[in-house]
Amino acid sequence: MKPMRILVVDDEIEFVTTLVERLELRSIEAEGVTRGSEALQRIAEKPFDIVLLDVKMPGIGGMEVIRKIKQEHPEMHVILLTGHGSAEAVEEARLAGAFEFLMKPVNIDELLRIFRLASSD
Amino acid sequence: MDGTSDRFWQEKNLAFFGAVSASLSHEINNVFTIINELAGLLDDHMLRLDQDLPIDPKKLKEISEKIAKQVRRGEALVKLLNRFAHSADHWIAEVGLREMLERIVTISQRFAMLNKAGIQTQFPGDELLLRTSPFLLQQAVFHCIRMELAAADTKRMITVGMERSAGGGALILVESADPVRRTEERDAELAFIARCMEELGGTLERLPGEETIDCVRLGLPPAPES
Repeated sequence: MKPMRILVVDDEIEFVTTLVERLELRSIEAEGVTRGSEALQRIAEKPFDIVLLDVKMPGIGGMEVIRKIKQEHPEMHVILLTGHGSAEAVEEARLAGAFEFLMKPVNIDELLRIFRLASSD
Repeated sequence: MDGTSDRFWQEKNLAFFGAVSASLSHEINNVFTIINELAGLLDDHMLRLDQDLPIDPKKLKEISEKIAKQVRRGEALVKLLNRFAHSADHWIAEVGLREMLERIVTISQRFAMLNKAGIQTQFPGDELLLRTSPFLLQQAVFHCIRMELAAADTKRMITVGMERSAGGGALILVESADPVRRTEERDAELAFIARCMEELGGTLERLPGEETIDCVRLGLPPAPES
């Protein structure tokens, strides 16, 4: 079975590198970047099954990134991550085409469950 | 609302407290998130022991050092939030101006970072002690910084400085290399900052021209003789 290809996008470098390492230990092909612009560039170069995307980042924020991803790659699943999720933010994410909207910190087993759900969608 | 009405005044006071608390708690949550992942990674490596697989002590040490670093970061943020919250305890208090400015600049750095801007400080000389309203003064400086940040369409560097004024008071300067274009919204912000300064018995001076704002100078009166 082909491993899942995940792109982790968050401006906290320590979060990105640690989560990528944990996913790799679970035989998931994971990569990380710390800017929305880098994420869009990486996605243009290489396909990913799932993008795990922080909402609040310097420069292009998560909401703008998801809209751009969905415009170019409607099949790609995007899971939004945030430290503070208001009802409005959840609705905005849903309208932008997010597969799921998760609050930080996130449990790795829950994350893997959502990854599997997204992959089988 | 003209920027000085009572409702606008009350809303701005609450919004300031809310914005700072939300920003700092967001950052504290980021620290918890990283510690959560690092502790999880530690667990992942420890599970190898159950499977009779070797574990690398260097790797464990590296993870533990990263956790300790995040704990220190979290401690600093909690201290900052605590000091900020206590700045509202007494409406008038003795304030170390340098310390207060350093605190509000540190708080504002996250807002700057999200706007792809930076804030630098120029605090030559000794600490300046003033008797003033710490909450209101922080708010005035914070709004000056936010006004500069709102105009940050390029990589803007904002400078916050302080100096002793001729009359024994203090002068706080908030400026950026790129002038901020005046808008109705920014004029309302300036009116609010002017009201803060008026309450503090101080002054606000905007430099230089009709169309742009290059620098905002906040003048504070000297501490009264005890």
